[in-house]
Amino acid sequence: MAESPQYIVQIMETRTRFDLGGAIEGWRKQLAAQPGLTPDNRRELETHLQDSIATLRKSGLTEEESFWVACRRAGQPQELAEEFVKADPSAVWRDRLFWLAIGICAMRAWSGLPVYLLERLYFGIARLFAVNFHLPDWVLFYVPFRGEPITEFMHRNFVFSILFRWAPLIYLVAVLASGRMSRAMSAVRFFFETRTRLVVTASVSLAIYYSWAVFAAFRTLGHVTPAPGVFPDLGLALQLAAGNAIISALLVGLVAWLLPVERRTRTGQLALD
Amino acid sequence: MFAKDLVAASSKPMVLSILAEGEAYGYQIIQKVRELSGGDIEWSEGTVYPVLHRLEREGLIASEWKEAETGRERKYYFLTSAGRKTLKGERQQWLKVHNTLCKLWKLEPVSI
Repeated sequence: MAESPQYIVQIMETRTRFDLGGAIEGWRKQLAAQPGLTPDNRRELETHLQDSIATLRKSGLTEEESFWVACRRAGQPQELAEEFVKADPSAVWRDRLFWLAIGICAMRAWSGLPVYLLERLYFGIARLFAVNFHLPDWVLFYVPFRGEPITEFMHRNFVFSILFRWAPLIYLVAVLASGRMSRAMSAVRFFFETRTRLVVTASVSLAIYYSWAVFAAFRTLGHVTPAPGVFPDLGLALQLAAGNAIISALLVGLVAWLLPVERRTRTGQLALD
Repeated sequence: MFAKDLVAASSKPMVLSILAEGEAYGYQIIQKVRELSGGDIEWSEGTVYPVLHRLEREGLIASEWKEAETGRERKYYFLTSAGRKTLKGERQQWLKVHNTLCKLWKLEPVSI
């Protein structure tokens, strides 16, 4: 196709056309780099910017002009964040502590049932691999899952442990952080919107988890023949379960306490009044 | 142009009074203040949101994300019963200040 001057002008226009979505995305990233702003603050400021742009557009400005005027009115992201921090200086630390506590909760939850199931899966695959392929000893020597239980190997080997135990969790966190699972997150948001709902959800999940743990301990104790001098100590198992339950309850309490107030809903607020 | 201190001090009764008329979002509050003051009082995002969040922490107002007719979500603020009570007290105090100044400037005071 011959490139007529009109065609070239069209291309140039397309290339230089202002991308409002991209510009807002850039602005959002600048805001996200400020430590004083919570995700909720950022979301609120973005809706404000969009309202501002819409009003300016109605007054006859172009998309690009509206965007820059709205940004100028809002002020530099750094200054904006400083105003928020001034109003509530503890918010920055409360927010950091909140995500730290959420992280610890996630690690604890992950190292429970999901990791156990993953380990079983890896072990099953490893056994299939070793038994069905009749690998020579010298190959098996270099393969991490020879005859020994893979779980033991995973506990001993740092790299293997990071790769298999924590990589799925790290991947999940990265996907969540990049906002690619926002629809799935908003589906479960209902349970985390108010402190009461969070505490009820966490208590029910923990109750199920620890009941399962105690049940598993009972089952194991029933089948294992104790080694000489070692007694299957149910008391110790219960103590461990109780200790874990207390730590989990404290963590849930901390997260509930740190849950930003603006996450409460109207019904939650009216019930408190 | 108004003194910064005066704008800051009057922000609390203004926000509470606007919300006493019905729920509103940040952008709407700024527009309302601009309109009522004839453009003399210009609040920015850095003014209104920290005030709203402080009042929310104090339990005077509460908020909720809701979808507007345009399909876009906005964070609406509304007055709580504690906020309504505080507004009454604020109103009395501001009117008393107003009346004192009126008397000093030989103007007609308003009834409280």
